[in-house]
Amino acid sequence: MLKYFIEYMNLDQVKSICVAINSMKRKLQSGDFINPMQEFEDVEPMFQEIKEIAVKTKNERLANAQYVFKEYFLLFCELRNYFNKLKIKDYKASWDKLQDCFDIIKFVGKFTNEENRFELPSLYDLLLEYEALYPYKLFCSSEFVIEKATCSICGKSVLGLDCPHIKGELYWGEPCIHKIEKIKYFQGVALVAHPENKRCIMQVVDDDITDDEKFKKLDDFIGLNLPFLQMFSINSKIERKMDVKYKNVGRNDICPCGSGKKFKRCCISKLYYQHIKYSVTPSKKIELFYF
Amino acid sequence: MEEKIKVINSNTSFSEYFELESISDNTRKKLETVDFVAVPAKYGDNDFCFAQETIEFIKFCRQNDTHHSYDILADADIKVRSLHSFDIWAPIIWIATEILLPIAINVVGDFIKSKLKGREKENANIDITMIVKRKHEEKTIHYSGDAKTFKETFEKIDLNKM
Ligand SMILES: [Zn+2]
Ligand SMILES: [Zn+2]
Repeated sequence: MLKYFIEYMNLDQVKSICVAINSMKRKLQSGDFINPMQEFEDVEPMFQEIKEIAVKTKNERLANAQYVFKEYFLLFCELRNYFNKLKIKDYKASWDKLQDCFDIIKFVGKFTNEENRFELPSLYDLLLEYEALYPYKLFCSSEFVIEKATCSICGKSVLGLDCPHIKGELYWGEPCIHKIEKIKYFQGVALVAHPENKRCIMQVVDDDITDDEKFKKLDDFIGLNLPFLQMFSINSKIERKMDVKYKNVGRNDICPCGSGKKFKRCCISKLYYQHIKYSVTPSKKIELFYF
Repeated sequence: MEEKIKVINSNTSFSEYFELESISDNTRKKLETVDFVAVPAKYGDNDFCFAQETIEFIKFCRQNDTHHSYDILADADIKVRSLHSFDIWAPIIWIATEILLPIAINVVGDFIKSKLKGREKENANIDITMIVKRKHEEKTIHYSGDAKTFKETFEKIDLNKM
């Protein structure tokens, strides 16, 4: 669908969109994250015009390609948005942006053969590395029974076979979305590692870890100041470290914890603790595709 | 991820569902006249529900395989149990005769492929149950495991010996 869209380069709108996406990719590459949505707002009416042309010329494929390319365009806005959040250390908010980027990559991938996805596969790999820097590993997934839901294309119920549309597919440049209107039971929330939506994060409430500590891994990484579009891999190594508190305590000394017992019979097991050391290996830079 | 196929002898009856939802005779007959019928499962003490992907699956089958008939065991709109995970919660499929089992496996394989397009690198499980009617017996085949290896897993086993 991406390739199909740029086959219409003879349309002024397609040409202008390509110029705009190139300039935005350059900004992304150079680390300019100011006004990330500006370009998108500028080109949005052109996408609408292309859709109208497609409808007029009865070209459903172009209408759909226009939608896919619009999402592709949006991805680079959202990437700038995301990296900006990292730059200003707004780590909490950056998580949702990261998930937005993943969603767009998968959406575009759904309509594009693997060999025609340009830089998307490497961006996906890069974002996976970023995702691994966050402390979130468990997510909520809710279970419920749906009693009424309708199709965004035809308005018919999607709980019967009358609506011919398939969820997530495109019809004349519009995606089929299911609108849930009535839920019968809400059966509770499950903890899963692989939810449909990773924005619902599971966190332990009574932990006294501060945000700084939670995002330490990410923060350490950002502190390295690598270019944002640089691929990297993280290796962790478990090291044994001596607790400075016990550094000068002899085996037969009275334990510093105040128990009155000898150190060797008390806290000696705390002399060493495990420390995870991360090392970052930068690898190739991601080449963006220019039209 | 590990794949799990469980095959048991079963004797499924829908009479409780038919009673509770006052299902019409026409719908009841689908079990004998339609090749593949998505059927509900008991939910809680007093209710029946269909799996999340039921409608999508039946629509997909109807669009991709015009040689066989696909339907749902319901008069009107169904109730759907929704679990918001990325796993594929495929329906319980009632298969009228055992010779149709390879067709079902094929179409489920294609359905999985379409669901995973664009998400090739993600892990996903599928949960699916097929109830196969044989002359005097009935078998329930349940697969819960890696969606990507669904088809190969079934290709490796002799369906006749199940
Ligand atoms: Zn519809
Ligand atoms: Zn002590």
